[in-house]
Amino acid sequence: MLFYSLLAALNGGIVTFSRLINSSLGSYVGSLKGSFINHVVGTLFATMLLLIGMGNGHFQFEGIPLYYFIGGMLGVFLVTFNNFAVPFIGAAAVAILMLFAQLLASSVIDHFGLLGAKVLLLSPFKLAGLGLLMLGSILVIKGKTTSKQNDG
Amino acid sequence: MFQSRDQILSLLASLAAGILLALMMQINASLGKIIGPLESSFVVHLVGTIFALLLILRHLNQDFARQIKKVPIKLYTCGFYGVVLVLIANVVVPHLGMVLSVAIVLTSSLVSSVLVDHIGLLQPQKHPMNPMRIMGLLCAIGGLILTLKG
Repeated sequence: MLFYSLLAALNGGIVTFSRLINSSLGSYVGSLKGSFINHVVGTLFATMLLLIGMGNGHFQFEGIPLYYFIGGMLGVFLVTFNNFAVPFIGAAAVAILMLFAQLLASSVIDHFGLLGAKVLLLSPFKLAGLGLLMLGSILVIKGKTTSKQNDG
Repeated sequence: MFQSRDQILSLLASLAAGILLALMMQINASLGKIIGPLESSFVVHLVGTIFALLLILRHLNQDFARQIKKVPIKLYTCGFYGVVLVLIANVVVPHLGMVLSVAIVLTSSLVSSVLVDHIGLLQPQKHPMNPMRIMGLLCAIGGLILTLKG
Protein backbone atom coordinates (compact mmCIF):
# COMPACT_ATOMS: atom_id res chain seq x y z
CA MET A 1 0.00 0.00 0.00
CA LEU A 2 2.81 2.39 0.90
CA PHE A 3 4.63 1.45 -2.28
CA TYR A 4 1.64 2.32 -4.46
CA SER A 5 1.03 5.52 -2.53
CA LEU A 6 4.61 6.60 -3.13
CA LEU A 7 4.28 5.79 -6.81
CA ALA A 8 1.14 7.90 -6.94
CA ALA A 9 2.95 10.75 -5.21
CA LEU A 10 5.74 10.46 -7.78
CA ASN A 11 3.13 10.69 -10.51
CA GLY A 12 1.93 13.95 -9.00
CA GLY A 13 5.35 15.43 -9.53
CA ILE A 14 5.46 14.11 -13.08
CA VAL A 15 2.01 15.62 -13.73
CA THR A 16 3.28 19.07 -12.74
CA PHE A 17 6.45 18.77 -14.75
CA SER A 18 4.80 17.42 -17.89
CA ARG A 19 2.06 20.04 -17.64
CA LEU A 20 4.75 22.73 -17.87
CA ILE A 21 6.52 21.04 -20.75
CA ASN A 22 3.29 20.50 -22.67
CA SER A 23 2.37 24.10 -22.03
CA SER A 24 5.70 25.29 -23.41
CA LEU A 25 5.36 23.00 -26.39
CA GLY A 26 1.86 24.31 -26.95
CA SER A 27 3.15 27.86 -27.07
CA TYR A 28 5.16 26.86 -30.15
CA VAL A 29 2.71 24.72 -32.08
CA GLY A 30 -0.65 24.95 -30.34
CA SER A 31 -2.20 22.52 -27.87
CA LEU A 32 -3.66 20.05 -30.34
CA LYS A 33 -0.49 19.66 -32.38
CA GLY A 34 1.41 19.57 -29.11
CA SER A 35 -0.80 16.71 -28.02
CA PHE A 36 -0.11 14.97 -31.32
CA ILE A 37 3.66 15.33 -30.85
CA ASN A 38 3.29 14.14 -27.27
CA HIS A 39 1.47 11.01 -28.43
CA VAL A 40 3.87 10.29 -31.29
CA VAL A 41 6.95 10.55 -29.09
CA GLY A 42 5.13 8.55 -26.43
CA THR A 43 4.23 5.79 -28.86
CA LEU A 44 7.83 5.54 -30.06
CA PHE A 45 9.17 5.55 -26.51
CA ALA A 46 6.70 2.91 -25.34
CA THR A 47 7.52 0.79 -28.38
CA MET A 48 11.21 1.00 -27.52
CA LEU A 49 10.58 0.03 -23.91
CA LEU A 50 8.54 -2.96 -25.02
CA LEU A 51 11.18 -4.03 -27.53
CA ILE A 52 13.86 -4.09 -24.86
CA GLY A 53 11.64 -6.30 -22.76
CA MET A 54 10.35 -3.88 -20.13
CA GLY A 55 6.79 -5.07 -20.55
CA ASN A 56 5.55 -8.07 -18.64
CA GLY A 57 2.12 -8.44 -20.14
CA HIS A 58 0.91 -9.87 -23.40
CA PHE A 59 -0.99 -8.43 -26.31
CA GLN A 60 -3.94 -10.77 -26.06
CA PHE A 61 -6.95 -8.86 -27.28
CA GLU A 62 -9.54 -11.63 -27.14
CA GLY A 63 -12.54 -10.90 -25.05
CA ILE A 64 -11.56 -7.36 -24.10
CA PRO A 65 -14.47 -4.92 -24.22
CA LEU A 66 -14.03 -2.52 -27.10
CA TYR A 67 -14.34 0.55 -24.94
CA TYR A 68 -11.16 -0.42 -23.07
CA PHE A 69 -9.28 0.92 -26.09
CA ILE A 70 -10.69 4.43 -26.27
CA GLY A 71 -8.51 5.91 -23.54
CA GLY A 72 -6.18 7.56 -26.01
CA MET A 73 -9.09 9.13 -27.83
CA LEU A 74 -10.55 10.53 -24.61
CA GLY A 75 -7.22 12.16 -23.87
CA VAL A 76 -7.23 14.04 -27.14
CA PHE A 77 -10.86 15.09 -26.60
CA LEU A 78 -9.80 16.45 -23.24
CA VAL A 79 -7.26 18.72 -24.91
CA THR A 80 -9.84 20.03 -27.37
CA PHE A 81 -12.35 20.74 -24.60
CA ASN A 82 -9.69 22.61 -22.64
CA ASN A 83 -8.71 24.58 -25.71
CA PHE A 84 -12.27 25.63 -26.20
CA ALA A 85 -12.99 26.62 -22.64
CA VAL A 86 -9.85 28.45 -21.49
CA PRO A 87 -10.23 31.53 -23.71
CA PHE A 88 -13.77 32.11 -22.44
CA ILE A 89 -13.53 31.47 -18.72
CA GLY A 90 -9.81 31.38 -18.01
CA ALA A 91 -7.35 28.64 -17.07
CA ALA A 92 -8.06 28.83 -13.35
CA ALA A 93 -11.80 28.29 -13.73
CA VAL A 94 -11.24 25.45 -16.17
CA ALA A 95 -8.80 23.79 -13.79
CA ILE A 96 -11.17 24.07 -10.85
CA LEU A 97 -14.18 22.78 -12.75
CA MET A 98 -12.16 19.92 -14.20
CA LEU A 99 -10.91 18.95 -10.78
CA PHE A 100 -14.39 18.99 -9.33
CA ALA A 101 -15.77 16.78 -12.09
CA GLN A 102 -12.77 14.46 -11.89
CA LEU A 103 -13.19 13.93 -8.15
CA LEU A 104 -16.91 13.39 -8.54
CA ALA A 105 -16.50 10.93 -11.42
CA SER A 106 -13.75 9.06 -9.55
CA SER A 107 -16.06 8.69 -6.56
CA VAL A 108 -18.84 7.27 -8.73
CA ILE A 109 -16.46 4.91 -10.54
CA ASP A 110 -15.13 3.52 -7.26
CA HIS A 111 -18.46 3.35 -5.47
CA PHE A 112 -20.22 1.42 -8.23
CA GLY A 113 -17.19 -0.44 -9.50
CA LEU A 114 -17.61 0.89 -13.03
CA LEU A 115 -15.45 0.17 -16.05
CA GLY A 116 -13.68 -2.76 -14.45
CA ALA A 117 -12.92 -1.08 -11.15
CA LYS A 118 -13.30 -2.97 -7.92
CA VAL A 119 -16.08 -1.66 -5.69
CA LEU A 120 -14.74 0.74 -3.09
CA LEU A 121 -17.67 2.27 -1.27
CA LEU A 122 -17.67 5.93 -0.41
CA SER A 123 -17.64 6.93 3.21
CA PRO A 124 -18.21 10.18 5.11
CA PHE A 125 -14.45 10.41 5.67
CA LYS A 126 -13.73 10.08 1.97
CA LEU A 127 -16.34 12.66 1.03
CA ALA A 128 -15.12 15.09 3.66
CA GLY A 129 -11.54 14.47 2.58
CA LEU A 130 -12.36 15.11 -1.06
CA GLY A 131 -14.23 18.26 -0.11
CA LEU A 132 -11.23 19.54 1.79
CA LEU A 133 -8.97 18.60 -1.09
CA MET A 134 -11.22 20.54 -3.44
CA LEU A 135 -11.08 23.57 -1.15
CA GLY A 136 -7.30 23.32 -0.92
CA SER A 137 -7.02 23.10 -4.70
CA ILE A 138 -9.16 26.18 -5.18
CA LEU A 139 -6.96 28.13 -2.75
CA VAL A 140 -3.78 27.04 -4.50
CA ILE A 141 -5.14 27.78 -7.97
CA LYS A 142 -6.70 31.08 -7.07
CA GLY A 143 -3.71 32.06 -4.95
CA LYS A 144 -1.35 32.08 -7.88
CA THR A 145 0.17 35.52 -8.10
CA THR A 146 2.82 36.94 -10.35
CA SER A 147 6.10 38.18 -9.04
CA LYS A 148 6.89 41.70 -10.15
CA GLN A 149 10.55 40.85 -10.28
CA ASN A 150 11.99 38.28 -12.62
CA ASP A 151 15.53 37.05 -12.07
CA GLY A 152 15.32 35.08 -15.28
CA MET B 1 -26.06 36.94 -24.55
CA PHE B 2 -23.52 35.51 -26.98
CA GLN B 3 -20.79 35.82 -24.42
CA SER B 4 -22.67 34.02 -21.68
CA ARG B 5 -23.69 31.17 -23.96
CA ASP B 6 -20.04 30.45 -24.69
CA GLN B 7 -19.27 30.70 -21.01
CA ILE B 8 -21.93 28.14 -20.19
CA LEU B 9 -20.56 25.89 -22.92
CA SER B 10 -17.08 26.39 -21.48
CA LEU B 11 -18.33 25.43 -18.05
CA LEU B 12 -19.87 22.26 -19.47
CA ALA B 13 -16.77 21.50 -21.50
CA SER B 14 -14.59 21.83 -18.41
CA LEU B 15 -16.82 19.51 -16.41
CA ALA B 16 -16.84 17.07 -19.30
CA ALA B 17 -13.05 17.21 -19.45
CA GLY B 18 -12.85 16.26 -15.78
CA ILE B 19 -15.21 13.34 -16.30
CA LEU B 20 -13.22 12.22 -19.34
CA LEU B 21 -10.04 12.31 -17.31
CA ALA B 22 -11.48 10.02 -14.66
CA LEU B 23 -12.98 7.67 -17.25
CA MET B 24 -9.68 7.59 -19.09
CA MET B 25 -7.68 6.72 -15.99
CA GLN B 26 -9.96 3.83 -15.06
CA ILE B 27 -10.25 2.51 -18.61
CA ASN B 28 -6.48 2.58 -19.12
CA ALA B 29 -5.97 0.82 -15.80
CA SER B 30 -8.53 -1.85 -16.63
CA LEU B 31 -6.87 -2.45 -19.99
CA GLY B 32 -3.54 -2.63 -18.18
CA LYS B 33 -4.84 -5.32 -15.84
CA ILE B 34 -5.39 -7.54 -18.87
CA ILE B 35 -2.54 -6.77 -21.27
CA GLY B 36 -0.02 -5.19 -18.88
CA PRO B 37 0.47 -1.60 -17.65
CA LEU B 38 3.20 -0.68 -20.13
CA GLU B 39 1.32 -2.38 -22.97
CA SER B 40 -1.73 -0.35 -22.03
CA SER B 41 0.29 2.88 -22.05
CA PHE B 42 1.51 1.93 -25.51
CA VAL B 43 -2.01 1.34 -26.81
CA VAL B 44 -3.22 4.59 -25.27
CA HIS B 45 -0.51 6.59 -26.98
CA LEU B 46 -0.96 4.79 -30.27
CA VAL B 47 -4.72 5.39 -30.31
CA GLY B 48 -4.11 8.98 -29.25
CA THR B 49 -1.62 9.48 -32.07
CA ILE B 50 -4.08 8.21 -34.67
CA PHE B 51 -6.94 10.26 -33.33
CA ALA B 52 -4.89 13.43 -32.94
CA LEU B 53 -3.53 12.92 -36.43
CA LEU B 54 -7.07 12.81 -37.81
CA LEU B 55 -7.87 16.07 -36.07
CA ILE B 56 -4.81 17.94 -37.31
CA LEU B 57 -4.62 16.44 -40.80
CA ARG B 58 -5.65 19.63 -42.51
CA HIS B 59 -2.98 21.57 -40.58
CA LEU B 60 -0.10 19.39 -41.72
CA ASN B 61 1.56 21.86 -44.02
CA GLN B 62 4.63 24.03 -44.48
CA ASP B 63 3.64 26.22 -41.52
CA PHE B 64 3.63 23.21 -39.26
CA ALA B 65 7.05 22.13 -40.54
CA ARG B 66 8.39 25.60 -39.84
CA GLN B 67 6.92 25.63 -36.34
CA ILE B 68 8.40 22.24 -35.57
CA LYS B 69 11.89 23.41 -36.46
CA LYS B 70 11.68 26.15 -33.84
CA VAL B 71 10.73 23.83 -31.00
CA PRO B 72 13.58 23.29 -28.52
CA ILE B 73 14.56 19.63 -28.51
CA LYS B 74 14.11 19.22 -24.77
CA LEU B 75 10.37 19.84 -25.16
CA TYR B 76 10.05 16.61 -27.11
CA THR B 77 10.58 14.75 -23.86
CA CYS B 78 6.89 15.35 -23.12
CA GLY B 79 6.20 11.99 -24.71
CA PHE B 80 8.48 10.22 -22.24
CA TYR B 81 6.65 11.72 -19.29
CA GLY B 82 3.32 10.83 -20.81
CA VAL B 83 4.23 7.18 -21.12
CA VAL B 84 5.54 7.00 -17.55
CA LEU B 85 2.51 8.90 -16.25
CA VAL B 86 0.03 6.43 -17.75
CA LEU B 87 2.24 3.49 -16.81
CA ILE B 88 2.40 4.44 -13.14
CA ALA B 89 -1.32 5.21 -13.05
CA ASN B 90 -2.02 1.79 -14.58
CA VAL B 91 0.00 0.17 -11.80
CA VAL B 92 -1.48 2.23 -8.97
CA VAL B 93 -5.20 2.50 -9.76
CA PRO B 94 -6.02 -1.23 -9.61
CA HIS B 95 -4.53 -1.35 -6.11
CA LEU B 96 -5.66 1.92 -4.54
CA GLY B 97 -8.81 2.64 -6.53
CA MET B 98 -9.60 5.87 -8.32
CA VAL B 99 -10.46 8.09 -5.36
CA LEU B 100 -7.28 7.40 -3.44
CA SER B 101 -5.07 7.45 -6.52
CA VAL B 102 -6.48 10.76 -7.70
CA ALA B 103 -6.30 12.22 -4.19
CA ILE B 104 -2.61 11.38 -3.81
CA VAL B 105 -1.67 12.47 -7.32
CA LEU B 106 -3.60 15.71 -6.87
CA THR B 107 -2.04 16.58 -3.52
CA SER B 108 1.41 15.80 -4.80
CA SER B 109 0.85 17.85 -7.96
CA LEU B 110 -0.41 20.80 -5.92
CA VAL B 111 2.67 20.75 -3.71
CA SER B 112 5.01 20.42 -6.66
CA SER B 113 3.14 23.14 -8.56
CA VAL B 114 3.53 25.62 -5.74
CA LEU B 115 7.25 24.81 -5.46
CA VAL B 116 7.86 24.92 -9.18
CA ASP B 117 5.94 28.20 -9.47
CA HIS B 118 7.97 29.67 -6.64
CA ILE B 119 11.24 29.07 -8.43
CA GLY B 120 9.75 29.86 -11.82
CA LEU B 121 10.81 26.60 -13.45
CA LEU B 122 10.03 26.37 -17.15
CA GLN B 123 7.90 29.46 -16.98
CA PRO B 124 8.43 33.05 -18.06
CA GLN B 125 7.74 34.30 -14.54
CA LYS B 126 7.99 33.31 -10.91
CA HIS B 127 4.86 32.90 -8.83
CA PRO B 128 6.06 33.09 -5.24
CA MET B 129 4.43 31.20 -2.40
CA ASN B 130 1.97 33.15 -0.35
CA PRO B 131 -0.26 32.45 2.65
CA MET B 132 -3.27 31.55 0.50
CA ARG B 133 -1.35 28.90 -1.41
CA ILE B 134 0.21 27.50 1.74
CA MET B 135 -3.20 27.40 3.37
CA GLY B 136 -4.45 25.57 0.29
CA LEU B 137 -1.67 23.01 0.55
CA LEU B 138 -2.44 22.41 4.21
CA CYS B 139 -6.13 21.95 3.40
CA ALA B 140 -5.27 19.56 0.61
CA ILE B 141 -2.96 17.50 2.81
CA GLY B 142 -5.64 17.46 5.51
CA GLY B 143 -8.15 16.34 2.93
CA LEU B 144 -5.83 13.59 1.75
CA ILE B 145 -5.36 12.32 5.30
CA LEU B 146 -9.13 12.23 5.81
CA THR B 147 -9.56 10.37 2.54
CA LEU B 148 -6.92 7.86 3.59
CA LYS B 149 -8.73 7.29 6.85
CA GLY B 150 -12.00 6.69 5.03
